[in-house]
Amino acid sequence: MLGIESIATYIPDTKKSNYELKEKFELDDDFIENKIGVKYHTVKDRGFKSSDMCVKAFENLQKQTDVNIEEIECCIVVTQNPDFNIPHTSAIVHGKLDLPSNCAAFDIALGCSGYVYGLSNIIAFMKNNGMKKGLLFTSDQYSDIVDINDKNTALLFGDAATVSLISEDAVLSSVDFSFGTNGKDYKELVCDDKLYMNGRAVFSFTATTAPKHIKALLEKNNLTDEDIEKYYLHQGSKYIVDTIRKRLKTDASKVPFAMAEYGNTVSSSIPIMLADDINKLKKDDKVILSAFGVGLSWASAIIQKIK
Amino acid sequence: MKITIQDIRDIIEKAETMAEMDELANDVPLTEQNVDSLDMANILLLLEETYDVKIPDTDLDQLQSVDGIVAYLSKK
Repeated sequence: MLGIESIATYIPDTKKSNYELKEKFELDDDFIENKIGVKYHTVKDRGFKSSDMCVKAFENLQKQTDVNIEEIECCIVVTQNPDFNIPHTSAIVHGKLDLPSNCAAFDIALGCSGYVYGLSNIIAFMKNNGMKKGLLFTSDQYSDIVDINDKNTALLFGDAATVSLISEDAVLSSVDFSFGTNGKDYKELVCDDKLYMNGRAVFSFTATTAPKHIKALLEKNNLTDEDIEKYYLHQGSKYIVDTIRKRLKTDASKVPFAMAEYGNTVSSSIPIMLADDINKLKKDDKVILSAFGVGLSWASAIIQKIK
Repeated sequence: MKITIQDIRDIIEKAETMAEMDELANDVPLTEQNVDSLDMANILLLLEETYDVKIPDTDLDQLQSVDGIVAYLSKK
């Protein structure tokens, strides 16, 4: 069965401390640690592009698996910060990794919900075309687009990339997906030269949409909170993760929080957590992936550990 | 809409802010009483959900204190 065989990440070594921005933005430690929940946010090397971060993630994948480049038949990059407007970043990654000429490559231009969309896309695409091995990348470098004087965004976002190896030797398989969009409110989170986010609007959208979406997906699959081992929620901020958890009425131990040391890494936030936990989950464990953000767009999935 | 000061204080308490409820003054802006911007976003959402109203960003200057919130919602 096609699913996730392995996940590798690239998190830049360079970090900016939010404690150093306390005076500039009139913050206290409690706000940094318990509200946004980001102590440090990662920043890529100057000149590094989305494809460079994908290559770094792939190099880490090679250290943990014996992935054979010659066998890769599909390469998808989820990014909203492509190297260029033309061509697609996945083609550049294809070239840098020297992937085979019969390998399909395309981008998915989504933000925070991108990994869940990407997972559904790559599994369906590979299945429909009889492919055996594929790579799903997520890569965004918001350090290029954030206004460093904007309190709403300057403290929050970190650069990162991930790669998921999709194959028939999967350890995680998908059970079901669900998606949604509210395009009327796209202006609440938009980048026209620099990133703009209406924090209140994005918070209200997420706090009202995500819990309902997750509950509906569980009900559709005749599952309850007791059937779910973990909820991997997009790491928008600690406050939003805590709010969704409270509205789901689920135990805090089921909802990982993992952005304090690198920030909101957009479509990479869920695969970064999954990479840490993939070997900790037990066979048959079911987990939720749920992400929400720019678009406004949201997506949730039920994933199961199958071996 | 009939809204009491206690109704609004209950919602602020439900939002689990850092404000000391025993010391919270009704006529002082919440942001001067340990309620930060994220807490305010949560309080406004709870108000919208509780009273089934839409509070546009352009009205926010009317909802800075408990008294302001009561007056604003009482007109709805």
